[in-house]
Amino acid sequence: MKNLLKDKKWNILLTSALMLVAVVITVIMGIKFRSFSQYKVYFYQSDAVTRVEKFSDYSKKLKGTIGDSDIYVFEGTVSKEGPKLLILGGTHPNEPSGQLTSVLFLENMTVEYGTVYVVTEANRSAYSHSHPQEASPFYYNIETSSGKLRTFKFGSRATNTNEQWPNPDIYVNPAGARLTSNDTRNLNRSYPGSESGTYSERVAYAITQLIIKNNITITIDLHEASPEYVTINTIVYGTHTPDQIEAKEVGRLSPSSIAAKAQSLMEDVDVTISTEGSPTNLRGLSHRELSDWTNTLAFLCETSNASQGKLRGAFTEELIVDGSVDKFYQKALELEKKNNTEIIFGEPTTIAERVARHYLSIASIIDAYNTYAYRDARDTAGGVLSEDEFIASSGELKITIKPGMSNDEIYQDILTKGVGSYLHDPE
Amino acid sequence: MKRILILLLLVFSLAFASCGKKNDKPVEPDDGSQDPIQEVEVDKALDASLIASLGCKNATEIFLTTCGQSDVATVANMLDDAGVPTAKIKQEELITAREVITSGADEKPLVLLVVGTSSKGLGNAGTDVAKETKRAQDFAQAHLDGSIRLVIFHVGGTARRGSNSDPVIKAACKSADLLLVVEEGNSDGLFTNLAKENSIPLYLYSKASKMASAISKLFK
Repeated sequence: MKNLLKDKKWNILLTSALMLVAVVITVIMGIKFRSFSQYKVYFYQSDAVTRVEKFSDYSKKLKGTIGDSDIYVFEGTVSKEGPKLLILGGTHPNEPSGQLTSVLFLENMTVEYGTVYVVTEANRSAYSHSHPQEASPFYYNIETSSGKLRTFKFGSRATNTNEQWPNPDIYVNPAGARLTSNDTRNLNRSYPGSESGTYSERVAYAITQLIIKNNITITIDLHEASPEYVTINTIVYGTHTPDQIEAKEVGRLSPSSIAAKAQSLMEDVDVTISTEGSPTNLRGLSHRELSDWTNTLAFLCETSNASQGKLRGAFTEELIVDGSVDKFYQKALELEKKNNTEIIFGEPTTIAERVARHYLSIASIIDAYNTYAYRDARDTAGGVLSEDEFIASSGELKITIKPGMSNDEIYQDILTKGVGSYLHDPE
Repeated sequence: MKRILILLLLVFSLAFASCGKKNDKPVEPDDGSQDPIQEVEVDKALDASLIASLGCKNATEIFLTTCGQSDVATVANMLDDAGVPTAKIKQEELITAREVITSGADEKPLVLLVVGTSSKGLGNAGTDVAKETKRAQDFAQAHLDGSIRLVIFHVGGTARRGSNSDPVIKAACKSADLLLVVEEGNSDGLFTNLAKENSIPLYLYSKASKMASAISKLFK
């Protein structure tokens, strides 16, 4: 062997063979990554969609770029006037229940009163790559009622470096906060955005302008986090920095009041959720900046995603759709119980439970808003305003996912039949 | 060489002694309170004589505040659900006992105090626990002095317990007319023991929404 390695010809042969293998692997993986990057996920549009707008309608510099995401607009069939809702999915493509919930609304919702805007891919660039060194699957599949598979992409938390590079060592975001280099390409640290800023800031700017120009009443940003993250199974509500505080800090139609009411409504059907106010010293996030810079009632919902956790085992498609199967998290939960300690704040669970929870959070926030908007209107009218009169005056946001079913019934339905039962068959 | 080895041994010993931070365990039995947890009936109706003595419905102004900067909206919603006129409610998260006493609203102003601090990263950020504890102490003292009527709420369960919340809770619960608590936050008996030590009537509820009927009875 020693003699063989000393042989020059053999060395050249060995080196050439290894280089050839490396080139072949690179080409194969390059083709796979390119295919993943360009894959277009199918989103079904029902007749209930009034029109499709684009991010570039609100931020011209996004036109013709990968960041020019679709905005599905549902105008009320009885009246488009009244409250307006924005459901934001796909801010972080490695948080699948956020996108899936927005898709559930897109494919099933009808709107009678008010207007609803649905975004399924808030950061489309982040769907064009995966996070380095995570070894995540490119795709995950959800089975529909007829047994067919709907394919969705599992992307990265951050914008692709194709669109935004290099990262500064310290990122100063448009709100003036100094953040880590990693957060330069994080859409949820880029608010309120900047029209001529980085790619992520331009996308954040488009979303902020969408909210301002359409005077959107409620904005709900859907996310997931690792089971070890303390702010899990939570509705985060917007607050205001001291120099921005207005009357909307208190009163029925304040974010804190609506979040508390939504929590109460969920508790009534035995779904535990906590509420947290957006801290004034943490800048760049949607619930923080949209509260300061727009009139929207901003909320952010978090569910528990084992694939984002640091305790997890192999990163498989199964882990993405069912975190409860991970044996390391199972072990961690056993040890927690045994040692009376707490490191898992949101038990890993199925994608159905995560989407169901997001669904119920959105439905409860809408119900809370409607309840309190009516009471305010009734008080203003001196107590002489019926609920029917209020609805007829377009005071309420009225949406339907499945006719004849209550929010809790739909929640249970998603849990038992799965998310796929609410998705259309693939194209 | 020998000295270097001894020095190294000493350094390692100190390093191991300072390592191994205790886990931030969930609610443990309160230090110094070795009594077994007294059973308090859950979802029990408020005592009629207590309601009458508090006279909440006669308050011209209701001061609603929080020590710990959490969950005041939950109690505000309960008041609204109970039909308490919003014009009567003065909701101010940072109001002090002194400001309440000098408000001139009632001879003995009514304060609804929601206690607890978020133990979670986001809600916890920016809360000055020392300041909140001092505010809580002042409210308890004002009650002890007979200057205010004080009803304390804890509605956030275990999420509003822990090393940031408990000092605020203990400071507030030195003296009050009534203590309304969601039972999840009392799993270690902290509120039971505080109520017993300071002779405060304690009512436990299985969930926050069950407290609503108590609020209705207090204010109607």
